[in-house]
Amino acid sequence: MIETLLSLTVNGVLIGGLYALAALGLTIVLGVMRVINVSHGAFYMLGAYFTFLFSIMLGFNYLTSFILSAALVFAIGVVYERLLIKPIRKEELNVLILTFAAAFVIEEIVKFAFGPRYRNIPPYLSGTVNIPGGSVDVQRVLSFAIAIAIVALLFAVLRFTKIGKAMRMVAEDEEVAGILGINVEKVQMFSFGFGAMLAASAAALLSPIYLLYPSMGWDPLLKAFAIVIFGGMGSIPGTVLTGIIFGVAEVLTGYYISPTWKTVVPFILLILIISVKPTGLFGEEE
Amino acid sequence: MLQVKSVTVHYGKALAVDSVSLEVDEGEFVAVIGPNGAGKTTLFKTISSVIRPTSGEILFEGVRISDLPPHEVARLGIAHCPERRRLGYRMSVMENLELGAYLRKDRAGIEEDLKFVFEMFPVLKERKNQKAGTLSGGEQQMLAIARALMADPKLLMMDEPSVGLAPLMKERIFEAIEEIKKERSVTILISEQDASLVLPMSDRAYVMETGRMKIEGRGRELMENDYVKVTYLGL
Repeated sequence: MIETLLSLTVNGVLIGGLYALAALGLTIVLGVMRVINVSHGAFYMLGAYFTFLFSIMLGFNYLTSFILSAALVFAIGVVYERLLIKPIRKEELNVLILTFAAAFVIEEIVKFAFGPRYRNIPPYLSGTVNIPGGSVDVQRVLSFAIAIAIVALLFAVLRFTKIGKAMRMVAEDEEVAGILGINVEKVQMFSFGFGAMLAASAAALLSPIYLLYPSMGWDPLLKAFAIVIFGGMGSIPGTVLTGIIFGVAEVLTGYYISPTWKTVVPFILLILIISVKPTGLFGEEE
Repeated sequence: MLQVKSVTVHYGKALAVDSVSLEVDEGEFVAVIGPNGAGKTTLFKTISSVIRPTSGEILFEGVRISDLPPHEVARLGIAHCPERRRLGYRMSVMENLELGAYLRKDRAGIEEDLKFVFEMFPVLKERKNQKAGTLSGGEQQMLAIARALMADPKLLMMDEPSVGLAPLMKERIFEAIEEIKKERSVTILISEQDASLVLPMSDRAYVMETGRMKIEGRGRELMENDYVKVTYLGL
């Protein structure tokens, strides 16, 4: 009984770490640029398809495919920001609509290039580890470890590097950041690419678990939004913790209540928390 | 060193600065006094290139800076200590100081300047690992000035450094400004509502009202000026 709960929780944490990774990209773009990036799900989808392209179609090993697709989506993110967002960034509503429209365009391009049918990427590692009450896939443990390593790297970059400190200053006060000599536009371009790359990394790690299809990005997008708002907009610890909470909540609901309720529960949690604390778990009052 | 030539600035359609000219020579201490809403902050932001002028131009050491982006103006040697401090409140005191020195590569010089600001404001050293948002208003103002000094600027602009502070803290801040003036070879442009604090130490001063320069003169002369006496010194 208690062992089943333990095993379910472990599986929930493992998947939640990947949700956190996907949501972090959204948090960073929101924090540093004040842009609500509806294309985030499209970058996620691109990450999965590029992993498919490199590993299945071109025959690279999984790790290489992961790195290549993350790097490629970073580059796409940078170009996207320069061409589409930068010229209209001050008009928040226009940016919102533009990123929404662009997500559909990217989706159609992928549908054209890869076809509309479902694709799958076989597990990159097989085998399971027994834990009390059940077992977990080795692959999920490794994917979780990679996700946590990326999150830790991100923390370190923000805390200890010059670009990281510049990003935090731009997030707090863009005008003053410029006065201090920070090239705000460059920092924002980098942050956007970085955010896109985080979505792509999460997708690459999840792609051996879930099926690939061109509209696959919308579901994680909504989930990422829920995580970001639940955790408190712009709060990185809040985002990570919430990702894990959502992962566990999903797995537990799927087992104890019904799989059909699985996807709804995070949103019920979201509604509950924002009616109690509108700024989210770790949100600060402005 | 700095030449502001008939600069006009609009916020949307509202006129904020109306054909203002101002000059600061190397080594000078120049004050702009005037009431709230006179356009002092807008003028400073325009010099930093945060706001674009509608007309007129600004030169710094002969270079036209009014159409450069803010980070390039900073690179030329202008540091701007903004009104109401505007720190990285979620960052530590130390990180704020590091960001002040963002454009510098001379490690030895940065260390030296850090020593200077910590000697001037020992409380910042005590609290260097604390978040800037947890400091008192006066301490935040000290940090804002220290951050600007960390850039080792040629021209230091301070926008109302005493605003919102208790009288004692105001004096403390102005003692520090006096010290900067004496110890550092930096040109200073300062705006202030409290003329009695700033005029005695100014080489020259401007009186700015409703977006225009109304009076200009040497600091001491302005203290004798009847209009300034009545309006700003309460005599």
